[in-house]
Amino acid sequence: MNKLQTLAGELLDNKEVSLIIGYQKGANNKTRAAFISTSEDSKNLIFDDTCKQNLAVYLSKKEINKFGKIAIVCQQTTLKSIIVLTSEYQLSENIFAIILDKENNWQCLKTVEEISNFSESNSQTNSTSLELIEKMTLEERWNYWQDQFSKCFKCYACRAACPLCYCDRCTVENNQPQWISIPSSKVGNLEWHIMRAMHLAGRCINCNACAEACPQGIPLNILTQKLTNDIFNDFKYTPGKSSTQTNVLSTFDVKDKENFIK
Amino acid sequence: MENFEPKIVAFVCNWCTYAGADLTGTSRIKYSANVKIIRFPCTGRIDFMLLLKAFANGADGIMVSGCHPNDCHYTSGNFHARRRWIVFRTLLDFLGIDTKRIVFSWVSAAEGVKWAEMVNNTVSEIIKLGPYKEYQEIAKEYLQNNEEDGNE
Repeated sequence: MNKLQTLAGELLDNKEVSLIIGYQKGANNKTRAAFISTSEDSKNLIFDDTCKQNLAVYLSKKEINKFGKIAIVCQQTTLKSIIVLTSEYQLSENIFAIILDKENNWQCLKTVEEISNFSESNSQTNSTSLELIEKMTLEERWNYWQDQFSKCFKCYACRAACPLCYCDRCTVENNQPQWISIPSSKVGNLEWHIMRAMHLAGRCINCNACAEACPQGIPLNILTQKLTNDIFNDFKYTPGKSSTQTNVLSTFDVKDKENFIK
Repeated sequence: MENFEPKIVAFVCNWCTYAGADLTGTSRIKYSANVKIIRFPCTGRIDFMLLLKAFANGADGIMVSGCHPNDCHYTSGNFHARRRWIVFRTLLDFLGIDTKRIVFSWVSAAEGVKWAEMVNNTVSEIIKLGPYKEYQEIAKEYLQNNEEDGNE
C-alpha cells in the first residue's frame, strides 16, 4: 500500500468520509475515475501522469452528493474548481481535498480555507496558441474558428467534462424557444461555443478538461483562457482565488471602462 | 455595393432609449428607416444570445442602447450590462466577428436628437462595412430550416 492508499483507507476506516473520488486503472490500461467507499478498495487508487481528468466534475452530481462526506484526489486545478463551486454555493458539505505537496507527501485539506491557502494563484495563462490567434487579423481569426467549429458534432463532451457546467437544465436542451439547433450546423456550432465561453467567463479556472474531452481536438479551452486573461486585465479578477468572492459578471464597478460606448 | 439598405436591429431599454426614440418621433425629427427597434425592460435583460440571433436572422448591424450610468430605472442594470458587453466584445473579436457591427450607446429619454444621430451614424457606418456576408453565409441553413417550420 502506498501513502495515498493508506491515507484513503484511514479516512474511510475512521468514518471521516464515506466516499473517496480518485483515479484507478480501467479497461485497456486507461486511467479512469474511481469511487471508493470501503478501505479494502482503496488499494485500487493510483496517481501518476495519466491522471488528467478534473474529478471535481463529480462533486455537483446528485448521485455523488448522496454519499455525504466526500474526499477527492486533487490537482491544483481541482482545488480551484472546489473553490469556485463553494463560492457558487454548489457544495452542500465541506469537501476533503487529498493532494500531493511540494515535499511529495499526501495531505488531506479539510476546510475550504485550507484549500484556498494551498491553492497556487496563477492569474494569467499564456499559451502559444492563444498568442498566435491574437496576432491574426480579424478575417484569419474568423476562418480559423470556423474551421475548428466545423469539426464539432455537438456531443457536449466539453460540457460533461467541465466541473463548472453543472446546470440541471442547459440552454441547449431548451426547445421553447430552440436557442441552438440540435444537429451540428455552422451557425449553431458558433452559437454553442460562444454561449459556453460566456457562461464560463470569470469562472473558468483553466483546467483544460474541455479540450482534453473533445473527441475532435477543438482547442476550445483557448476561448475561456482568453476571457480569463482579459477579465483579469479589465477587472483585476481571478476565478478560483477565494471562496467568498462574487462572480465578476454578477457585480460591477462604476468606473468600468466605457470607451466603446457612444 | 450600390443601393445597399442595411438591416439594423436596435435593442433598447424601456425607460431611457425607447422613450428617447419616442421623443425623436414626437419632435418630428427624420431619421433613417433601416432600424428595427426591440424594447426591453432594461439593458441588463439583453442576453448576448439575442444579439447572435439578430445576426443569424440577417441583421447587418446591431445597436444596443440604454440609460446613462446612474440613471438606470433598476439602479444598476446598465452597470451589469456594461460589464457583460466588455467581456462579450472581447470574445466576439477573438472569434473574428467585427465588433464595429455592434454599436453600444447611452441615450436618455431626453435625447431624441442624439438617437436620430446615433441611428444615422450607425447606418452610414454599416453601409461602409457592407452586408454581413460571412455571418449570413453560415446562417443560411438555419434560416431555411426556420422557413420550412413556418417560424418567424
